[in-house]
Amino acid sequence: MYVLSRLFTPRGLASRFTIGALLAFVLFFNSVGTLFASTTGGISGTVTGAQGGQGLAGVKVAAVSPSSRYGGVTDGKGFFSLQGMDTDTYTLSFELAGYQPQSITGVNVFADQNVNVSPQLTKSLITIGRVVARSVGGAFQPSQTSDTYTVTTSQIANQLGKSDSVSETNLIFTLPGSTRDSSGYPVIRGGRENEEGFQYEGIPYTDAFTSQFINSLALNPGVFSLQLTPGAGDASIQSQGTGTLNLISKRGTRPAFGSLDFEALTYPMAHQFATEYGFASPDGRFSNYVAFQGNTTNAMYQAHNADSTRIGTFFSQQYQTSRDLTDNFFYKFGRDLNQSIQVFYQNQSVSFFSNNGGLGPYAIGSAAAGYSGPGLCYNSCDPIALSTIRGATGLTNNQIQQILMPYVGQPAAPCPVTASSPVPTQACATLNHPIQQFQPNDTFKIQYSNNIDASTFFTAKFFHANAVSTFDLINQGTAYYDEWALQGGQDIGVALDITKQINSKNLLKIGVNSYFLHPIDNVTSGVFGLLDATGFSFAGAGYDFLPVNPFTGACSYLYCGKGVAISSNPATATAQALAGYGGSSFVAPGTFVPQAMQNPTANRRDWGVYLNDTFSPTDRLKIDLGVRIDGSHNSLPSEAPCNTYASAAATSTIDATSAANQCLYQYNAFNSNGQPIVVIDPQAKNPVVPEPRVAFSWQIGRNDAIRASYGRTVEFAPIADFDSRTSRQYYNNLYGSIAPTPFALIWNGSMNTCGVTQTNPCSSFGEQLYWDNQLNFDGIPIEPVKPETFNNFDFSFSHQFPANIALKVTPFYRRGYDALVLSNTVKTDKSGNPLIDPLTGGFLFNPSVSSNLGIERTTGVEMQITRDLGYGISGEFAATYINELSNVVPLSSSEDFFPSIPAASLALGNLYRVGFLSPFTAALALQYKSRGGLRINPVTFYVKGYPIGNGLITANYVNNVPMNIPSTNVSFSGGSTGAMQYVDPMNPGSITRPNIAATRGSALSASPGGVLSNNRNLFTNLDIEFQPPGSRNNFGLFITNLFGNVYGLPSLNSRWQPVATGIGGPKTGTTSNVLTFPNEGQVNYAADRFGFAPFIISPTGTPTEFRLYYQLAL
Amino acid sequence: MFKHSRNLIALALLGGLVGCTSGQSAVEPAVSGANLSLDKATLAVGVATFFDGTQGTNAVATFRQPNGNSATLVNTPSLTGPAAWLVPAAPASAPATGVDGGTNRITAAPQIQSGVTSPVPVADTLAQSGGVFSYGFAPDNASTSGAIVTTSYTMPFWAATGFTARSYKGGPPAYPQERNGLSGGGTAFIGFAQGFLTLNTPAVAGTYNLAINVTDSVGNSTNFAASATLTSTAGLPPYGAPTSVVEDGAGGLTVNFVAPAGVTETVVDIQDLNYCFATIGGSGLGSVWYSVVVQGSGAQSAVFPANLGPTGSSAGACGSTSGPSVLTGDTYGVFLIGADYPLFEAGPPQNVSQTPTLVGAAGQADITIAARATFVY
Repeated sequence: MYVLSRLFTPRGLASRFTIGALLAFVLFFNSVGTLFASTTGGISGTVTGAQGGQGLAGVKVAAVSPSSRYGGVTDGKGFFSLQGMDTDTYTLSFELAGYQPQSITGVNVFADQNVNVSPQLTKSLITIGRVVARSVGGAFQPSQTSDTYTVTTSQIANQLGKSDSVSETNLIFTLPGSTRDSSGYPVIRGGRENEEGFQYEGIPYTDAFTSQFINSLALNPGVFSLQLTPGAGDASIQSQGTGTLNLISKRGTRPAFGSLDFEALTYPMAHQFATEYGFASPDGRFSNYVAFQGNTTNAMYQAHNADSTRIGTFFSQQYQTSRDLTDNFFYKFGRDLNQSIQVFYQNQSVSFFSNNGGLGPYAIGSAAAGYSGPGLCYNSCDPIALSTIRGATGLTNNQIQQILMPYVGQPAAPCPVTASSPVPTQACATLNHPIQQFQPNDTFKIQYSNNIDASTFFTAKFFHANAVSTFDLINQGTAYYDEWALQGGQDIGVALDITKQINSKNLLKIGVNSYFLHPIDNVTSGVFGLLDATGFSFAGAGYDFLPVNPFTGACSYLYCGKGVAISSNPATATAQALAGYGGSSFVAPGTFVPQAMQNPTANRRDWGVYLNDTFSPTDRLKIDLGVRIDGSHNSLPSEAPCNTYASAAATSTIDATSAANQCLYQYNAFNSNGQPIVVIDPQAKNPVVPEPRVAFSWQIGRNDAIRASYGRTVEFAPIADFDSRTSRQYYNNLYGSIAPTPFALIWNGSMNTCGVTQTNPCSSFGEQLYWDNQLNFDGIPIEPVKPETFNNFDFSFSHQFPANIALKVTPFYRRGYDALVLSNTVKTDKSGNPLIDPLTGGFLFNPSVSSNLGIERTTGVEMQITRDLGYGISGEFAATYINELSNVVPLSSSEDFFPSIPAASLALGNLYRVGFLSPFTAALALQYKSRGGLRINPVTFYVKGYPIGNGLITANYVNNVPMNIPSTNVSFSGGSTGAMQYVDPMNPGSITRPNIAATRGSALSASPGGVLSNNRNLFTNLDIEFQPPGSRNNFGLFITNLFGNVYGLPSLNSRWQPVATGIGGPKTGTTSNVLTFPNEGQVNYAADRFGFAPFIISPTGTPTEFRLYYQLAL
Repeated sequence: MFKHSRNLIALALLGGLVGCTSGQSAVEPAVSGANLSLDKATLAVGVATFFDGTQGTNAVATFRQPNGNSATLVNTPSLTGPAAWLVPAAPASAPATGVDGGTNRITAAPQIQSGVTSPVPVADTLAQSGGVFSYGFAPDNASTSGAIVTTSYTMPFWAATGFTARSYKGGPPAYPQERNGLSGGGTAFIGFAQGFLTLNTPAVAGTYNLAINVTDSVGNSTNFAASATLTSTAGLPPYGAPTSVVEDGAGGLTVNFVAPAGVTETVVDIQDLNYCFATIGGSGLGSVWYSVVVQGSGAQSAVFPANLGPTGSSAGACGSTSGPSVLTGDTYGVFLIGADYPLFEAGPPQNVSQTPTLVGAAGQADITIAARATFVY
């Protein structure tokens, strides 16, 4: 007799297991995929007589758990169904007069899983049969129609090494179908970082602006289970993009349970406290679960105040805090407590503080100037910024500091500088203000549930998620600006779902949902002021904030000395200019060059409706047929201003009332008069996407099963993709009453620098600044795009081996359509002829905008091997092979997060293997647990390697013809700093047959990213734990990164001086700015970081940590 | 785990919460370095005769891989003459000689990191930019940007007051057309090097030694050497101005000249000083070069076809005028460069021998250069 595994039995539950007349029946754990709107499951089956096998009518069925109780009676055919059951572990009992009562313990119900239990009752004495125990988290799930991986509480501990671990990221990496991208972020079946869905208790767990996770991928002890569904589930799952991850919370039980967790670190500093408590009232009406976890770490690669730049990082010190409070309350009422109200709340705050551990004397100025401390600096004291602006404007440091917007928290008075000491003193300039990132979220759900009858279950829920991250980025010494941003948003939604067991063969689910996304994106950056003041921007409008004309030294602009007669004496004119700058009647004294601003405001409302039938003609065959329709409404501004011309001869659509350019879209068509207009695809405004879902599972033998599914999924465009608006009001409030600056005429040869085409007149200085900032830094204001859709196919074979070992192999294919990318296309006239730049002879290009021109094709194989045992060796092995093709150039900037495609590559239709995925990854989580209380749990990760190198071939325009040509320091579209090959400067050859005099000396491939990095494999965490038998005390040691692998992926050294193949020159790692870091050059390319080599690697991983912990079960 | 910020500059930070990153640790990719010992340097010296009859020194050097390409993209050469060969200490014109002044050598400065103040960068004739490449000395040492560098020295070094130093490039028809948008050097490559370096200091009979140092980023140093002997300081006669230049009105022209005795070949270079400036105004395309090679001495003619001008996207609006060699209204210069050694034949792209012949029958590389004759088409 195999006893049902007690692994999932809540501690303290008295076992009422009675050996009944069980003859070779198998517990089926059927999964119909994670249910977006539900956190409940069901049990159904047919009770038959042991003699003759006939269905037994009138059998009383009861399911009891510490938190809930359900009951029913079999129908005339012996069939019963209990739906809307809370996730828990139940004891099932079957009673019928004249038959031996039977109880089955350890029946686990998980979210949206329908367990099939079909016992046989006998009139004879109990005979011992055979029960095959199968873990719901195991690889063999013979009735699972969708490809879902469930991780139970104990498996979470096993796959992370210990309970109360924080890293949801690492947990995801131990599952098949999940891959770590080259940035370290989890993606599902190779999707991009915002092409996957996260849920917690059925609540969308992605932010309203970018669709990223909102919980920082930090677990709390309140997670009861995690379900990963790569691809599509059944129609009840609102799958986002490439897959969905759903977390289910623990609930209160009776008897109560709880725990305390204390953790501390020997080096570097870290500590953690976590506690949980769950209880239920004796009558089962009330239950509550509460958990808190607080975690603080201060990881450092080197000792405090050591020069972190020697190992290539400005941020040796990484101080992080995580606080998480979760509460899950239930109140049950009604007949047989068939109704319930759930109130779920989570409040989480995760913060990151990054500061350098000691840039030493190399940061700002030199030791002679008195510098010895950390080197972060406000932009107004950064020597790079100061020298750049001085060179471009001729201004002094003091004058520059007077016109640059002070950073939040910056001392009010600029740091004084003198001729003998051209950089600010350390006391004034040096900061201990770290780079900070705050990622809070609070999530709330109230749900009403009603078991109308045993086979009918209804839920209605309301939820709200608020997640707005703060990015506080100060000048880090490699760029001269300060930035501050809020990014995220709020979701509010409602959902209704009904589950109905129509008959013994059909389980029907229908539902509807609607939710509203309000984004928050508020960016303030000094980059506009700095770059505009140096004339980098289009209109050079920042020059008007300068006290003198940098070209003539005199005041000749509109805004200096306004209203005062300009003297012909240059010295007097200069004095007038200085006075005018400070005292102009148009520009207030102390006016600063404005910041760069970003403030999108479009909202989005999503809705969905679905219908799904699970048809089970036999106990071994299950078919899911369903369809869902998802839609979205984007609150886009009207495109009418773009199409409203005053006459057939008009050349612009200037608003008659405001005289400003109100068109916010890129022109994409022509009207009958040959005027450019905007036409928006209806699927970009109000997309409606039907998504058929078909799946089946078939247990072909006792220990073998197959399943397959097809499902269409959708990813609606994140608001960040189509709304890039700048705050027009910011600029017009300050400068809307001032006439446009004539400097535009000097800088551009035309006063017409406004509008999306930058060719229209400007109605004011404020409008000029607005369009200057909008188009230079944020692009076209509104860029409507259709949603991405995916066709997902997968097939699984699974097998149950002896000794509780199970195997599942799943090949899959996904085809993406209308993938979201940034792209720019050739400008054409109304006849489609390319427009030519009269000066260069090359094509004119439209600005880069969001488009649906991306292509994705993914194939792969997932594998999982599990062994679930209470003692001895158990664990999980997962592996994923993936091959993904896309038309995004590998290793290009933001390849897996809002990617872009160069025009030539797009025109050629090039497809590449993506550069952000390793083709093969694996994870092994092993556990040895002895009856004496010792537990050893290593978790090891393997990565084949990530794509590196820019390849031998690049796409570029050659005489206005897109071509794939050899990639050299001349032809590479990414610029010479990314070149792999260098031509002979005295005999370069042709663009198609270049003379290569030198290469970087590393392995090359035709395509970018065609070579894999050599990884330090077997990144391993190790846990050693001891819990004396019968004791509530648990002692442990957890070692992170046992082998100390901290260096990250190699990246091309962008400051490599090519001497000969594989040989870099002495200037490697430096810039030409002699003012930057005396005696060191650009220090973050020091030798310790392999800064002399063609590739550099930097520490990015977690340093080795030793963590002692004590846990107490309450 | 950190969230990504949209539209903000990405930061290179630690991976996030403790234990969040795993399995990405990597090692430096394997790099296979070139075998520098296979590279070879050659040197030839001769007398340079300037148009006014004064004479100086001509130095021709190559530093090539076995396939004829430039051996390295960065190197540090020095040229040491006989003891009596004098480098001026305070020349009237560029380049400054720094520590070379008053000695018998010209040197390039070792490559050091930008911003380094100790040791102080060496001030010398060729500075850190000067190197020897597949055909001649040039300030083309690569920087950390990796961009192609195709500049040329203006010559002669230390030109006398009133004497304008010039640079020289080779173009079609003698050299391949590079101004058609198809050049492997892009728009930066405007013509081929012609290998000679003239210096306004008298040539002295004796042995000249070329030393080239190649140092890598970790201090490994490799040295190369070549030498040449100057036996005669007579030099070639000065080169007179063209006798006539006949324009065909379609962009082509014929240069008639008399090559001095002793000249075995003349490279006639035409430089449109700012192509298309007169047509479109504004900035134009800058210098565009054409070259014809004529053998022998005495009365000669060099014919430049009419349709050698820039074409393709590299020509911009000028390309729309079907590429005449010289556009009406453009100012152009005519250079006559006479040599008694295979000046044209020794250089790329026609010569990819690792050790080309750089001397004539007399065993040295004498050169005579006429003053630039300027015309408006």
